[in-house]
Amino acid sequence: MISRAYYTEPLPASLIYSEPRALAASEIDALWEIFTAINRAWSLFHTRDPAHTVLDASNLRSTWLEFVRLRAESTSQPSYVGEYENAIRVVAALRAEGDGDPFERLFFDRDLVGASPNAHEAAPMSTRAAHAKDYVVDEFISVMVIASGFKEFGGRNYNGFLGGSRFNRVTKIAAHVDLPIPGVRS
Amino acid sequence: MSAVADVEYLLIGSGVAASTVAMRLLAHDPDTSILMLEAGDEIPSKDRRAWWDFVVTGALPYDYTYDDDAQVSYTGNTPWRMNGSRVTAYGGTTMHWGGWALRMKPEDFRLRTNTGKGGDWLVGYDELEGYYCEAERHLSVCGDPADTSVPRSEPFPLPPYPWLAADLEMFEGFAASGATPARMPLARFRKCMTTGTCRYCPLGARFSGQYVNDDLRAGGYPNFEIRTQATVTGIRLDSRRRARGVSYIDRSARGNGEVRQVDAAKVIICAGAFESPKLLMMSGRPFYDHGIGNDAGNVGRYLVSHSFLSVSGTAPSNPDRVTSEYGFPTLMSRSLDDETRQATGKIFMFRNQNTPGGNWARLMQAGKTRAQIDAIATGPRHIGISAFYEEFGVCGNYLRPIAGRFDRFGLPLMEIHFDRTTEVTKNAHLRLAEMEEIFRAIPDYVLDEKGSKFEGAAGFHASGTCRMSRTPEDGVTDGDLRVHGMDNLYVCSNAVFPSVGAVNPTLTLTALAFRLADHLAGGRPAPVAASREGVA
Ligand SMILES: Cc1cc2nc3c(=O)[nH]c(=O)nc-3n(C[C@H](O)[C@H](O)[C@H](O)COP(=O)(O)OP(=O)(O)OC[C@H]3O[C@@H](n4cnc5c(N)ncnc54)[C@H](O)[C@@H]3O)c2cc1C
Ligand code: SF4
Repeated sequence: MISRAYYTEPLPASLIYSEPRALAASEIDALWEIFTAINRAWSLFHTRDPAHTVLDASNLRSTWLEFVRLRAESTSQPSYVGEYENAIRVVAALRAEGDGDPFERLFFDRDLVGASPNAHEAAPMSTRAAHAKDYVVDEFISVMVIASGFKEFGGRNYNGFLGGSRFNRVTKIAAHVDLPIPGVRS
Repeated sequence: MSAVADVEYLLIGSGVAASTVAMRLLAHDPDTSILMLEAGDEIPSKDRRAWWDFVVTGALPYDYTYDDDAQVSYTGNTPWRMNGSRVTAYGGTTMHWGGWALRMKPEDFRLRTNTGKGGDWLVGYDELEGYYCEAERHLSVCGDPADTSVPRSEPFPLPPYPWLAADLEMFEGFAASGATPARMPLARFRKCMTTGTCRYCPLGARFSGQYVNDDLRAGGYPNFEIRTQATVTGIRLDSRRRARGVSYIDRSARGNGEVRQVDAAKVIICAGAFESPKLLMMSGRPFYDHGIGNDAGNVGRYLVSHSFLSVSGTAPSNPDRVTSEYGFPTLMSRSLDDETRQATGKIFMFRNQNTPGGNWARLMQAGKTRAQIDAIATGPRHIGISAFYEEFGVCGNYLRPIAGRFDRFGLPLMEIHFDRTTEVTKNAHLRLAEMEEIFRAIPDYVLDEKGSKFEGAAGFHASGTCRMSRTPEDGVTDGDLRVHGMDNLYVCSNAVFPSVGAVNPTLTLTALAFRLADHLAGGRPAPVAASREGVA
């Protein structure tokens, strides 16, 4: 059984080396669980617009899948397969330990994951749990916020949000003056 | 073409200057032979993996090309930042430019006449106006039809971005203190989806020299070629007046670092404001002892760029949770970029695009709970006004290559010497005081008394190092951008600017590139080309 010894194991802070490969369905499911746990922990898609949103992050699944697959499978840049395998095992170890919600611990327990975000930039050594936080959880958080989670905190647009053409009838930003722009057909 | 030349035109570099010259020359004559030599690599654009990397980690696929500050030897009393000031790659620095596309004002072309400082241009605003219109079409500039900050004979090719809610208070502050608020003109194609990650656009919606090069390569021009990983090391001369061609190191896998030579009827140096003067200084023997066009020692001198001024302040709360929703400013003002301030340095102001902030992901990553982030979102609201300050080129500020030391592209390392006089610092503080006054007119905000800054220099708008002048005693190039004393050697770069005004330089550079190509083609206007948007 995977245990505490697993997730506290020290290892270099740099990205775990791995060859690119397609992720198995079970791995995608396990990673998706982390993604949706982020939504639960910060309630990003619960309250905004009950009429149009579901109670989980399903609407973001295609964006998230593109992100995860590009990180695991693309051959031209470092592969995240090793990080994804590690994060899945870290969650399994935390769950096996049974000491509270494994995701809450991963997201909020500084003793477990170190001085995230980007702890790997500060120190040469890290742990398996800190790797899971740095390379998987923190990146998933960015994806969720960018892919429309930001709306929960305010604003209609955000750096990285592909909001659609600015020539659409509905403005993509909280505009100063919501009037037609000269020269744009509406 | 001359009987002995391999090509008619040899262009050094593949940035916006080189790509515009090439495009226009091919519009004049699709069969003309052009070879572009580019020191850097080809970096994939519109690559979703690279884009996601940038968005979640901040890493850009071209940041490995940045100058390491340790490679530059700095002297002088003012720090100069090189890191991130240019991109050495196919497409050049427009790979990561902001795309702010502004015209200089008519008085900027007469700086010396008006103030006794810097240099005068040998081309005036009126002559360049038609080329400005072409440059705006080429770069697909979105701008306000009602903008009257400079005279224009044609409207902007694309309509402007709307002002953001985040612009509201500053809009009021500007208006209350007599500074006219205006919309930032931006080089964005119609396909822009407003994501705001423009240093790496996932859609290719922000103009880049890369796209022009790609279109030219795919355009069926029989005698057009671009070689990348080809670092030009020197201009070869036949005589004191004539360039014969260039030598370059072939860094490609097949080239194996070999030195090659190409002969050309005309050589056009489009290598940016740092490398263009270095190439002149490193070439010319036995005809020139100190480099081509450098008998008077002006090559590499008059180095200048813009410096940042910034003021900021805070309102007690942000009940509407307003954030800056783009990665670029939509609000600017050119009211302090006016003739009355020319002698003491004009400024071009814009809303600091990073404020009001709201990096929610970062807060979540740092372990802040939902309630804590909500409190931050509605808590104090911080905003800032930033500005580019115009400094004047002076002979004592220079760059020069360091003999025998090269970077990973084979480009010579350099020394940069930049001194700032107490007068410049005093004048910059005059402008800063004006910006503070404007800020104080913004309702509900308290100016951060310690937040006003006049920063050191940075190389992103470097210019002046091959400045145009009537005589070789006073500069390096003539009004046609030809190196003084040479028949067939030209420089097309911000390096030829005798003054840079207060605004970003690239629209003006693009206008000059069109003008140079027309001059090379015998002074004829080019046939009207299809807009780039149509081909993209
Ligand atoms: C961060 C940043 C933001 C900017 N934002 C704006 C903006 O919003 N608006 C604006 O107007 N301007 C902006 N600029 C400035 C703008 O990028 C430049 O004005 C413009 O790109 C200069 O174009 P260029 O073709 O002259 O030079 P470059 O684009 O630098 O091209 C020169 C090319 O020559 C190559 N080269 C150099 N030496 C050699 C050699 N020896 N042999 C072969 N090849 C060589 C280089 O690799 C490079 O590709 C910005 C600059 C920076 C750094
Ligand atoms: S706003 Fe988005 S789509 Fe538009 S140019 Fe910038 S990155 Fe590209």
